[in-house]
Amino acid sequence: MKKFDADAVCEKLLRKQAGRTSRRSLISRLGIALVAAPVFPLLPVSRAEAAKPDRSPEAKTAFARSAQTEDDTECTYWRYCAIDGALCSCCGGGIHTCPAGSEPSPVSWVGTCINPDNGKAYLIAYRDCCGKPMCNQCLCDNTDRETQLYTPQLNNDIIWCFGTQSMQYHCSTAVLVGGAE
Amino acid sequence: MSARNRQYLLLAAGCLLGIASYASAGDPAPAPRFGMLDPALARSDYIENCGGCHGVTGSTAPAAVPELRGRVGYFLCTPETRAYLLRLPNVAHSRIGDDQRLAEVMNYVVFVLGGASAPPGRLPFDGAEVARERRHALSAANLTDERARNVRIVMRQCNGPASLRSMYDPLHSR
Repeated sequence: MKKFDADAVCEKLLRKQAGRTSRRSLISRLGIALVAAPVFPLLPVSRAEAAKPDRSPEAKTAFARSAQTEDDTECTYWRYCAIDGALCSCCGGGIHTCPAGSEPSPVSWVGTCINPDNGKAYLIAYRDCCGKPMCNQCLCDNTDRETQLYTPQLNNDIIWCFGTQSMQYHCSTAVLVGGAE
Repeated sequence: MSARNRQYLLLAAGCLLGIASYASAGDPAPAPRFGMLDPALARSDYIENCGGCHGVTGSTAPAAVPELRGRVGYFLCTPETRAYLLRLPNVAHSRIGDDQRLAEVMNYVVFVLGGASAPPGRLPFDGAEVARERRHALSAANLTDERARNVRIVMRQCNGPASLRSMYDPLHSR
């Protein structure tokens, strides 16, 4: 024989409780719960969670709302949300490869773009290809997360050809680094 | 409500709580490793805010950018060199406004990218330390001189390698 049957004890208790409480008291309790629930987000525990970046649809930029996932030779391609320059995919290279004769810069400008197919945010490194005269095809200037030129590290007008043989700018690629949190 | 009724209610609540504790017993909250409650966010924030110049894995040699991989942990050496990291303008003025979140990014930098370079027993950064130090941003200082001065401290007191004087280690990079 079982010594302690928690299920049976709880059932007994709850049945007794049900027999003693009225429906009205249940309704009043539910009412209190409904009023109290919206207060919980004001507690510090939920505010700590708010430190996470806002990736909600409402936080989307104008670019993200009209981005497409089909044609990477158009400025509206989703990965180009913060690109500034000529698209390497129009200059004999690819979305993450430099055209022959140009060299990828080890440093890059990093953007966060939303893929409209799944709504997720991705980290994109805009890696300039350097060492050849500028390719004048598909010039784009998208500005997600960009600030004014007086904070140059947050401005994508800068030519990011540092650490290369030549600082001559040719075109820009958009390398997918991974998912953004 | 009668006292007896209240007793029953408490017992009933106890039954429900019992169920709740059974459900949550399987997954205890993970202990923060290297001072990061959310390592994935710390890495993502690092790449988004620092990784363009410093590199996704902490090195963009031969670009003239201080290499972090396997080196930056040395700067946890003394309270002064530790504060230097948090006072660097792009750290102190980072667009990550939340001090705890920035502390976790810096912990990712010094303990994950820095790897074995962190001297043993050094505590991770926390929000209070970041809040205190970022108010003293090195906005008007000569950063080249400041870096050289802190490298000298690290070399003298924590056996930092002489290659820290250069932006990157020409022997190990690439």
